[in-house]
Amino acid sequence: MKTKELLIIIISVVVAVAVAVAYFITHATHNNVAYVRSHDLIYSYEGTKEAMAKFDDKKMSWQANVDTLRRDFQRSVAVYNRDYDKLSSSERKQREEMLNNQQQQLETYSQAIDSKIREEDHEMMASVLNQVNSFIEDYAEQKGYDIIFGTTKDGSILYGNEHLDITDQVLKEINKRYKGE
Amino acid sequence: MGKILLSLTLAFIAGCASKPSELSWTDYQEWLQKNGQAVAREKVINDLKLRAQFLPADFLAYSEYEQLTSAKTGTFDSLLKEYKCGLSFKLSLLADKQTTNLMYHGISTMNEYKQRVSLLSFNSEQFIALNVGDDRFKPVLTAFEGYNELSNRLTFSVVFTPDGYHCGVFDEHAEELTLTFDDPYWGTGTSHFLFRKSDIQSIPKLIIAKRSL
Repeated sequence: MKTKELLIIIISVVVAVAVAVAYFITHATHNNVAYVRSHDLIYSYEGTKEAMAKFDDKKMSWQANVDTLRRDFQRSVAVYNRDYDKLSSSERKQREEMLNNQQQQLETYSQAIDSKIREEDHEMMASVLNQVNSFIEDYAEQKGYDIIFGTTKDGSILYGNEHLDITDQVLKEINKRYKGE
Repeated sequence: MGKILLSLTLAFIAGCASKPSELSWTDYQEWLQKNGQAVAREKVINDLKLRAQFLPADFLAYSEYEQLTSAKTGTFDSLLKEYKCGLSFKLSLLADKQTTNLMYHGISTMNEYKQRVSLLSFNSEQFIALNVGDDRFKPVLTAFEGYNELSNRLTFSVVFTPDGYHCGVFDEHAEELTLTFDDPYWGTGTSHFLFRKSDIQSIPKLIIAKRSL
């Protein structure tokens, strides 16, 4: 009787150990850590492409205004140079003052536009990164990842096995989400 | 015998799988609540929930009809006829109550606040549009329903009359409609919400009992 009980205990222990080992192997080999190639992800994301295209359109129209003002100024300078010999010294002084004012206005406007472009560029990229980060958070939760690293050229991840690279999967899903599906 | 059984089984399966084509007001509201996801899309960006919902003409017409005190026979039909000529959507922005008040988010002066109120109230066509194929349409009617401070929610109602839609009938090419929101203030960028013609057409028809005069 005692031998039979001992045998049952031994079998139970062996089964329990086998189950524990199987569980450990299954879960230890599951990739709950992955990485994405940040640059590729961000610049292949449809949201970035669309935002950049819109931004480029705006930028072009603002720069066109600056170019128009610059051409006006250049035309005024050319007219002044053409008329230079015909003008009295007081008229020259007056015209030079006007040209100086025009140039200053042009410079002020041009600087304001440059600053607006930088601001809009920053806002545009921040919105895109908000979209990407929010999506990655959601994706990680859905797929059971504990950590998703983002690799950059000057980042601290020096090597990652290709099997842990989920850039293409993430890109496919984020583009689907962006389209509104 | 086998054939009869097979026919009965097929009829049963078809009955289970098919959607109701006509519903009473109570059942209709229930259907919309249960199946709202078919005509609603959601996104969460930067802790801000964006929700776009298609509002069926039947629902809008009956909601107005119910408020009428002296509705005559045929009033519902004429209301429905009018509502059918536009595609209506509701767009909501909802943030956690702990986060910044959506109306004041990123604002530092009274002038900025005034500009925001003005844009949201009178110029929402600048940031809400409907894309059908390659064509982009501005809303023909917009309403900023306001800011709900209790839930920290902003809501807009918009109506479109795109070229591929003729008072309830879609052109063949108008398979997909994309509502686009270009976030002007909250840093969520551009969001698209895709609605398929088939989803919109699968909404059951509302059948109402005639009011006694």
